[in-house]
Amino acid sequence: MKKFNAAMSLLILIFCSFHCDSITDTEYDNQFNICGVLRADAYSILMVQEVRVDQTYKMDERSEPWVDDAFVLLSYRTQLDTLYYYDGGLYHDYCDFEPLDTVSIMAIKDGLDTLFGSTIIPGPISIIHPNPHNTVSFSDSIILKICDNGAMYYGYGEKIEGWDRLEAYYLPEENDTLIIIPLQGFGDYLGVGYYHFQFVVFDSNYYNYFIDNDSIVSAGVTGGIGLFGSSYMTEIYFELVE
Amino acid sequence: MHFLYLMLFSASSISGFVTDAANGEKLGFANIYFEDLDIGSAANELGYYIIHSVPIGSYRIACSYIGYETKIVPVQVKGNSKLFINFELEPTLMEVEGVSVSAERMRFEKEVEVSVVTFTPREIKAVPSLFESDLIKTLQLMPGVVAMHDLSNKMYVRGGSPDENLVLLDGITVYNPSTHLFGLFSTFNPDAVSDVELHAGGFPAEFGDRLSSTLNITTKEGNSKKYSGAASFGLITSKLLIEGPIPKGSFLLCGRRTYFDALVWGYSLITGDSISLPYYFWDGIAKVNFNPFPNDRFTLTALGGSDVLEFEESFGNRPEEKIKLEWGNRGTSLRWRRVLHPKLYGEFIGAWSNFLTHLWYEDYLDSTNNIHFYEDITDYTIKGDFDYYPNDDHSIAYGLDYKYLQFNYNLDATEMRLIDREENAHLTSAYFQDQWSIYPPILSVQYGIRSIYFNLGKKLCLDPRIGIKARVATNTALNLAWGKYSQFLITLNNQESYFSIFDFWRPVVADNDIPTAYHIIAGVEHWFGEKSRLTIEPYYKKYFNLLIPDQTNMFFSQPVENLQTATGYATGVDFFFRKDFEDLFGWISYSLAFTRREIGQTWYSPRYDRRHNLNIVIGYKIPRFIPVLKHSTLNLRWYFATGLPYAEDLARYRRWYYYPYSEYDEMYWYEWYNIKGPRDGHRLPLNHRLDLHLENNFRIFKLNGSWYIDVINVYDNKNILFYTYEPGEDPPEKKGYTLLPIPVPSFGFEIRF
Repeated sequence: MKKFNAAMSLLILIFCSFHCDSITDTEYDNQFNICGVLRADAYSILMVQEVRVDQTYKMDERSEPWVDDAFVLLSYRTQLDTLYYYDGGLYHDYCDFEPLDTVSIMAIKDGLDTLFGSTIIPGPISIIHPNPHNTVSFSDSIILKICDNGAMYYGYGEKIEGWDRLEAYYLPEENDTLIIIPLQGFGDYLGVGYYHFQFVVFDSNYYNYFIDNDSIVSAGVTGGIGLFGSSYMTEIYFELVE
Repeated sequence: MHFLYLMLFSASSISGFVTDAANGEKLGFANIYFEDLDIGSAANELGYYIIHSVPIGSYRIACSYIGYETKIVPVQVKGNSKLFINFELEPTLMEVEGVSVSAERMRFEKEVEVSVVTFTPREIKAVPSLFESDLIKTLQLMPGVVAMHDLSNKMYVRGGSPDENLVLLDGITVYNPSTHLFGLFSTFNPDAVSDVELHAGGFPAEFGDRLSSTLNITTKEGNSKKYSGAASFGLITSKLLIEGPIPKGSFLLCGRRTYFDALVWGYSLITGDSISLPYYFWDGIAKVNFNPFPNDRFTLTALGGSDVLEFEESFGNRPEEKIKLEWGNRGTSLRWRRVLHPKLYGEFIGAWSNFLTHLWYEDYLDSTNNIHFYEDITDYTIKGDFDYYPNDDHSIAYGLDYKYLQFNYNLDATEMRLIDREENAHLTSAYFQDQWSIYPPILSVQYGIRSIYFNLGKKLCLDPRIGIKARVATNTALNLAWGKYSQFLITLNNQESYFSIFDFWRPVVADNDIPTAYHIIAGVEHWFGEKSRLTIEPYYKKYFNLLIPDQTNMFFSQPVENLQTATGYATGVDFFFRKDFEDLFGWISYSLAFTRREIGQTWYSPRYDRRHNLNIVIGYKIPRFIPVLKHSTLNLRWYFATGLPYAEDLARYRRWYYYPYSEYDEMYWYEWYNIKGPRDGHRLPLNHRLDLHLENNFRIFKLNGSWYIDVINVYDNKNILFYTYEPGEDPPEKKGYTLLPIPVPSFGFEIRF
């Protein structure tokens, strides 16, 4: 009988431990989820800066369309700017960022951890060739000077009178000083005419979040998830001839 | 030399082989003893025995084996004589389930070994199975062996991944043993198997080149007494086995093929529906034994098999393209066993093994698009093993082993070779081991060393091994084993995925350190009489320099070039209780296991870390007074285990996409993404399942036969394999998926002639 009892005790112990090991980690606290890409450009001093503020939801929780009761603060150089809730989860204000400004963000809301984030505005982009409103041929190239803190360059052009639109990405190598974009590199869509081109440089947060790895959950933020990045834009008009 | 001469030739001895008189199969671990002297011996696994130091005189020598009639032979021993006596034992009418128990008891008496389980084909067939009895699925019921899911055909042995298992079939290294039906069936046809021996750890120096376990499969010799055979028909396969004598030898031919494709084709002909199932597999084993002289035996074994998936895309009635994927194992071994001297037994093996994968794409409209991809591993082995029995106290084994390994990876376009990669490796090993009965029968030790030279990086590994056995009582032994193990080949596909068609093997390159493991095992083995035994084995295994593919795909593993270096450990306790009554037999195995790996500074439990694993297998001979079911056996298997670790979805979020310079309003958009917890943060629910196998033996038209019915997952438990969250609802619905959504029946029959 003693042996039987001992065996049963052992069995009960084993079967209990089967259950004990079933779940090891169930805790999760909701966090901020933001998406903000600050903008600076060569021609505007004050620009509207937008940050979308959202949050994560536990799997068994209903979601809300946005977060409209957060306190969102930007700091750069010696300034502090509160972003005001606008609509649809967007918070905005006018700010005058310059290239290489370090901009920090803080978001506060009851029930969520405070989010901190930081980005360094890239730029400026200099267009070395062509000069504005000049004439270029199909065999020509657009030449940009590499700027500081830029991780990805994006060019977007459209014909002023027409439907031709084209775009190109460029990822600079470590020792590059110039970006040379042959116009033929835009493909067969170019026709002669007057063109407007925008060139945008994005910081590494933007690049990491959207381009390098779409499985990462945060870039440039701590205490929450999402993206806090920045960009700089310049533009040029020129005429394309045969 | 003089000493050796004296040892070899100075005393009388009796040696020989023990075989089954009905079919000539060897009987390993038979008991040989003198009726009128207190000396005796046991045959080794090849049925060879030797009794040393027999005094001059006339005696009666007996050979016994459970399930066979004891045979007694009178002998006259003269001075310095070397008598060679073979025993052929007649089977009794008694059922033979006990045979393995007898052999295991003799192993307990004779061998210093830990973590060994053995099986006979009868036991493999007795275990309930889905469609087809399977050797590896039977081994998954053993302590220390974990299956990833209900249909898995891979063995995770004591925290080791399947690529850490050495699988040998008649000396042929089988690199992908679980390839049939996308990894659901093993490549071994149980009808052709004679013995299965699994070392779950602490294996001796004669085995090497793997970190975790060895699975040594021996096929049947072939009936040397008469022509016989068996044909069996199951739900998805048919099998045929033919064996018989040849002059001075025997042969065996065995094959099987699935016929789902043919059935579906026949159905489509009848109904006119254009349906097809473009998949089948086949495998076969051929073996020839030839004994030209009493002391020489040549065995030629050939193994082959393929899985074929082939389909055509058509536009109307015009075929446009064809894709064909074929993969399979092939191998040949030639073995020469020779009794060089009654005390010295040698075996020489030349073996070739190949695993080949082909993919053809044929474009009927534009042949310049045709491609052919193939990938293979080829293993050429030359090996010599020697067993030397100098006296009753020592049993020495030593040998040499040379392997030439070729790895090819090619992609051909119509007129051009796009990829041409070939790697070669040479592996040269030597081993020595001695089983020494220090204080017989109480204290024995087996010590040995294996040295391996690997040409890539010019690496030399010395792997010492030691085992100690203390018989603290007649029926009880304490075992201790320690050893170092090295592995020189790795796989490029992650072994944590639920499914894989086959493994992509590569040599460890010169820049990497050799993956190494240390085993320490302490166990107790206790016998309750002659037919029941209990083993309890705590173990600890430490890993270094593991090379793990940088990919964690849950479902299908794919080869990747990036490997991560990992360390880790596996520890636990295995319990095994096996009992064999006349009408009731079976076993209970339970494993408590902890497996951890470290990559960088991060520790985790791999997906196959099953904490508790309980298997109960019971076979019951139905009483003969029950009509219809007389001559029937009912086998049940119940399985109960902890769920596997997985990364649970903890939360979800809108992943916003944004381009700040768009002139359109839709510059923001999003997709829902989930945030996963740690890869081992949660465990799936408990797994349990009851399977049933009913087998009835009958006789018809002077032929013996049997039919069987299997039901898997009798009480319809849903063993969850993974979860998904169904989009479209808020919050999303969590849904679990299982591989066996309903109880699955299968049936078949066999005719023996």
